[in-house]
Amino acid sequence: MLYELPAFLHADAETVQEAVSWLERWGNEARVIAGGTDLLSLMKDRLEGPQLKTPRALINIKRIAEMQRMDHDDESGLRIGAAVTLSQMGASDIISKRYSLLSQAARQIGTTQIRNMGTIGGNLCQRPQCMYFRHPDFPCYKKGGRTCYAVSGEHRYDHSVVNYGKCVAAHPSDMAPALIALNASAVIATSNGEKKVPLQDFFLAPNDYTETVLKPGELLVELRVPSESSKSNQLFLKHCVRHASDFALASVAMVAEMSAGFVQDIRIVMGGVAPFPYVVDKTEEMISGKKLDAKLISQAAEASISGARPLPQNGYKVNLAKALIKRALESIRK
Amino acid sequence: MEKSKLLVKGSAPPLLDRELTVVGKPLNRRDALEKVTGKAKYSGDIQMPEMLYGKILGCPYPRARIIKIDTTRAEALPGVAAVLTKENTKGWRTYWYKVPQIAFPECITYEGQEVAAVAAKDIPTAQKALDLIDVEYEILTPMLDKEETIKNPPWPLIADEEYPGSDVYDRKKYVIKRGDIDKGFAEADVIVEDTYTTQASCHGTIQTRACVASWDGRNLTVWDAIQGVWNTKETLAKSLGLDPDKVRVIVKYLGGGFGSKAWSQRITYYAAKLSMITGRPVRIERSRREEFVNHSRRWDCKMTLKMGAKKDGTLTAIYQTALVNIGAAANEENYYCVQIIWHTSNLHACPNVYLEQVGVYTNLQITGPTRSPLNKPAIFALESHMDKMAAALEMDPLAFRLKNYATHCSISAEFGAYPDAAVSDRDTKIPYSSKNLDECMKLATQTIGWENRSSKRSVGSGTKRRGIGMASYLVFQGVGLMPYAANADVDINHDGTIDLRVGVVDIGGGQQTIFSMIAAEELGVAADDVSVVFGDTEGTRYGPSCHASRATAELGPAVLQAAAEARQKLFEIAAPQFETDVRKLRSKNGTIYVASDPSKSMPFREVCNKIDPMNPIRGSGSRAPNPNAPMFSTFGAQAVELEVDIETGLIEILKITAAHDFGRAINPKLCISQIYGGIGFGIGFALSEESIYDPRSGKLLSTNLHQYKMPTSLDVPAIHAILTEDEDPYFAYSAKGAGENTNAPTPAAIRNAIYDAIGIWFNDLPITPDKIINAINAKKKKG
Repeated sequence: MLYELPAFLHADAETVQEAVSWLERWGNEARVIAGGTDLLSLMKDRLEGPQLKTPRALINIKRIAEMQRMDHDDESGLRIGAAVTLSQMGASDIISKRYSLLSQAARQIGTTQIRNMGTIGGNLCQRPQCMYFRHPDFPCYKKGGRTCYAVSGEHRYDHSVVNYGKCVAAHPSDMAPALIALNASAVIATSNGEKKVPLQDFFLAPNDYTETVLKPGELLVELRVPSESSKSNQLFLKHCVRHASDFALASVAMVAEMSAGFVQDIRIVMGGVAPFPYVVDKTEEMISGKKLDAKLISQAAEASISGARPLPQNGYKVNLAKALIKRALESIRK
Repeated sequence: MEKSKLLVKGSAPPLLDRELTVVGKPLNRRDALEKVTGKAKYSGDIQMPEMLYGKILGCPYPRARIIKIDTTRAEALPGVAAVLTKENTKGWRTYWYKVPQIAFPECITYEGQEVAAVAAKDIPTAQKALDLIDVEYEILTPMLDKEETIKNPPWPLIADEEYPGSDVYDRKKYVIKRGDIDKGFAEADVIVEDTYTTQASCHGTIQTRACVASWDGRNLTVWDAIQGVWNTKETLAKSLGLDPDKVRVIVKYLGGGFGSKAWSQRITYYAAKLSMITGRPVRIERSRREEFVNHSRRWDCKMTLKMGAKKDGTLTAIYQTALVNIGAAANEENYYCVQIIWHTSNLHACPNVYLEQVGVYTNLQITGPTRSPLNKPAIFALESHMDKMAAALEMDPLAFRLKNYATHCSISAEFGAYPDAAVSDRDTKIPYSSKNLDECMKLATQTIGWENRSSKRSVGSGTKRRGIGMASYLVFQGVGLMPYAANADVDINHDGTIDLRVGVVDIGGGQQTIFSMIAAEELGVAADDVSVVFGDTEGTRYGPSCHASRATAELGPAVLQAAAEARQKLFEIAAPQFETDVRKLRSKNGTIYVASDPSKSMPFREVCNKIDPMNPIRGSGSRAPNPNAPMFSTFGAQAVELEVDIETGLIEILKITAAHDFGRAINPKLCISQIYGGIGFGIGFALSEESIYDPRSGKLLSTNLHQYKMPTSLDVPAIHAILTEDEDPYFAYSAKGAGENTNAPTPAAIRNAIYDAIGIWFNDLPITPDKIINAINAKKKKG
């Protein structure tokens, strides 16, 4: 029921510069709106706290032409405007041919309606799914409160098993692991011009109050994916409670360059298990340059998340993560 | 000629001695086009001049006492028309189903209970007003867990704290026993005991509760989203101190009910009161979060079963204890104190049983009807245990069930409805009016390929294991519950139009269509020739609420009787035209003709023109209460084929077959739809749906449609639905009723199929990925 949203100012930005100037003017009272699938539900649920302000201004970026473009050339790779929808990504020929990891991931997100509205930028900037964070009556750490309710409460589905801090929520994005596995970068517009950040560095640690490096007044405008991995093996696996409309209990994004049965280069990134997309570097190190066999796969899967400290009720995620890694590696074993 | 057994008051019309032309046809639902094109106006779509918007402030704690409440700031807000709290409504009671509750208590006994209500010019103002109400609470320790709660003595009550119905149900044992349980176990060669738990679960009706209440100074009119217009009228009148004749309730379309709207809704009382105070119409609609918090959840249950059987599979003893979390309020309309044990008593034949059901009051929400309320937990435990028993006996689960096929019911449905009937030790044998459960079991299993069950286990490739499982059910439902009033009237007008009047709501199952078909068949016209006045207390007589699959079973005979009476009156007008005796006339397909010479005929409409325009024909019908015998029940069996991935724990349901005995189908398309819908419910209950609470505060956390995981279309496999149609002379065209319980066997069938696939019994619902992966790993470790 949209009319139950708190009142806000809505500004249509026509250019990136205009959007940035609006964002600067409103500071931490502004939010960027594209599909709104996450933002509007946060607002409808009236979530707020010392570190979570109810936005007073929504800056619409859907009219900015350059943010809706997808371009590709062999030299500079793939450029995706942050306002490109997940449906557009899922349907793109160039993506499914050369960066199929992205279309595999995009097609498994939410529902058709969510994918039609939701954008790649929004998917990367979405907030955690922890039910305490999402509930207006729990002033949790992430909202600026002093307590994490999940750590001793409900945490079976949406929480981390590794690298968590005061907040134990897991990062819910499916696109983030996929893009990081493809060595993507984020282009951020600021009032001082653009900056480029490796996507892996775009995400913050769990003790921060937000999940990304974006500061008030900054706008994620584009994702860039180098073309180097466009010929590699790409696989996205996601496990949920239901067959659709769910966030990952665990997901695996893998990009592997194979040569005569040997692993030339491999990137594996997991979603749903850590407060940020979790680069499975232990597994990557163990198998790089090697020929895969059942034993190595099993060892590499076992090592994948060896630093895990699961919460009392989400230990199964460690087993699930290992099973998904094993499955991914078996797909490239020839 | 044998006397008709049709369940009507007065004389029953004779059976039609011709082939049926309407009943049995898969007609589309009448309201389908209106609904899919958005033309249907639901209660929330009603707009009235000067209408105010209401909002209710619910307590955020499951148990708390209001120390201080100050509405000064809210009342001062421009645009606020009225603010209600305990301070200005002393003595006012509203209802939860039929349970009377203090409208605004000082001591809150469940989350979301009403603290204040406001009416304002628009929703943002109403919301703002709620924010401006200052409430100081003393937060009290809530009782949440049923086992913890029952271990301790009942807690001392504070202030006006009350738990309606607790004197009857709280911690009381309701028992069914027959034979000699000790002797039964002594005779057994194999004894198996296990414990099963089922979760608290929520409704997720597409339409959240919404109403518009309008008081014009003398009469109250309510457009509501509820399953019963007549029962709502009664409790509204009672709560508001009005003559029931001054209250009109209208439900033209309903966006899902499933029992959650079986009686008047909480919001309606507050909207009506606000309308009576302000003199303006008041609309209240719940948000999805409010809906989840303040509606009837399904009771969480723990059931222990112990069974004994001889080597040949003959059951000798069943012992059961069942513990039910009642929540904060109950009476016989929203808690069924013997429902679990009644099903255990009657699904399979067993001479010696001791079955005990205990309910305990807590502060964990309020509970109530939820499509197969306690049947689903009961059937899950029983049909799961039957498979475990069969495995211990090394018997085929189907053969084991057929071996213990019950031909009689052992305990009547009324038992337990009254507090003085807490123990039943009668060993009566009541015949069923009709029963085809054996055929259901055979058809469901044949269709899924039961005979290839063992060879299919190895079909799954790589890490996948395939399994097939089944479960059966029975239910007493849809049959003459109190107040035994179900009336129908059929008017035939001078211009040939026909009005069928039934005081029932079309819940979405197609009741409007079904009743028009029964009337049309009896009159000899097409279904579309009958317009139906329904979902309105004006223009109809008392009809039952549309729940418990009772509408067709209860109103069907009344509609048939009314239509037959109207037809006979029309024949009396027609007879002189044919120069024949009225008994020789028949009607079919819009034509009235002479039975012995169908070429002598007249169009139905033409005969209608002879009706006095000022005095249309009226035929009336009323359902008779159920006799003590026979027993009326519906039955069914389902079989599931699925694959389990033994590494990731992923469950993929490949196919479900379902064979159900609803008697005869008035409209098979609608019956099959009910099976599809029910199986969707069953899959959710088995694999994903549960109300998730914060363990400390007891607050409901899963308050949106993402967090509360109902199955999506991708979770529901191909369903092969079969109707085993058979005679049942007590009902209109043998239609016993369909719908509610089609979900009851699904969870056990899924669970039994998982065992068939991977050899692990899952006894705790829902069977979510965490449980599956943990169990698979525990099994691997054990080797």
